[in-house]
Amino acid sequence: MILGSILFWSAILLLMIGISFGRMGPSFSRSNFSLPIILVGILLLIFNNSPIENPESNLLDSINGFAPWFFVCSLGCFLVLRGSPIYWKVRYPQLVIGWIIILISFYLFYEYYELPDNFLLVALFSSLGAILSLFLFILLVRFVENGIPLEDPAPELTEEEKDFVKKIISMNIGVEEK
Amino acid sequence: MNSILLEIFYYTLGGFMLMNFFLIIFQLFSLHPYSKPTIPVAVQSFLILISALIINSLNDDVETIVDAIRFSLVEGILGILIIIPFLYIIIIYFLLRASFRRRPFDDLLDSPE
Repeated sequence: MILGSILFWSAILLLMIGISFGRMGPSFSRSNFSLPIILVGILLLIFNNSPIENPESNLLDSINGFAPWFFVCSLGCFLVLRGSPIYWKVRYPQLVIGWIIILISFYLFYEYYELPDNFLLVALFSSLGAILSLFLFILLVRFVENGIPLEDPAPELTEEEKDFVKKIISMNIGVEEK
Repeated sequence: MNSILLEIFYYTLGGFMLMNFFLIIFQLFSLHPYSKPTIPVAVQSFLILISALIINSLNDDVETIVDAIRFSLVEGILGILIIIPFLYIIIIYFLLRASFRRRPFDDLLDSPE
């Protein structure tokens, strides 16, 4: 594999790592690094000037046609979401600009993006494979989680802990402790 | 094997391998004290290897296992690039509905004083 292809796969890997870092939950402190890593991956894809061999070269051509409408449409969707009356407050500038940008993305789609002749076949069976993998992953996680023994029930609260809980609840509901 | 059947098989394995790769990376990079990724990652890596071996044996243009993995990942990503516009159509439909949403009549807020 030549340098250009290695850089291409490194960029894809960085994008995947960036998306993984963005998850919420017990590892949420890592989400601060999500956007910078995604940005580095995108920059590596854009500024990779080394020659690329096939099959990555064909894929890069598709990405070049896909990226303009995708980023513009994503920006438009973001603005429309910000402007929509989610909590009954409409922000008209964001809403109108968002819809204009989405319409521009339609133009970019028809101008630059070319779907392959067998696009239905590719879409249908690629998603079938992806769903199969996801289903298998769910089964594997379920298998592992079922194998973990149940923990012992938590011991009863001590008097000190009970008083502490009572104090917090009393403070929150605004009632004095008796 | 029939060429169309082979193509279908390559696309399915492409999506399968790409999603497996992504899930392996996801599990490794979102590791936390409560996650137990060892068995899923090991099984998924094994499945990627088996899929690559199958593609290597079926496709004459592919010479090594690494080439088979590259070939499949490209097929998988191409599939994703084709599916995304259709997903965006659905998103835009919901955005359209959200944009023209009106607050339902509220007896308390909207009643004449």
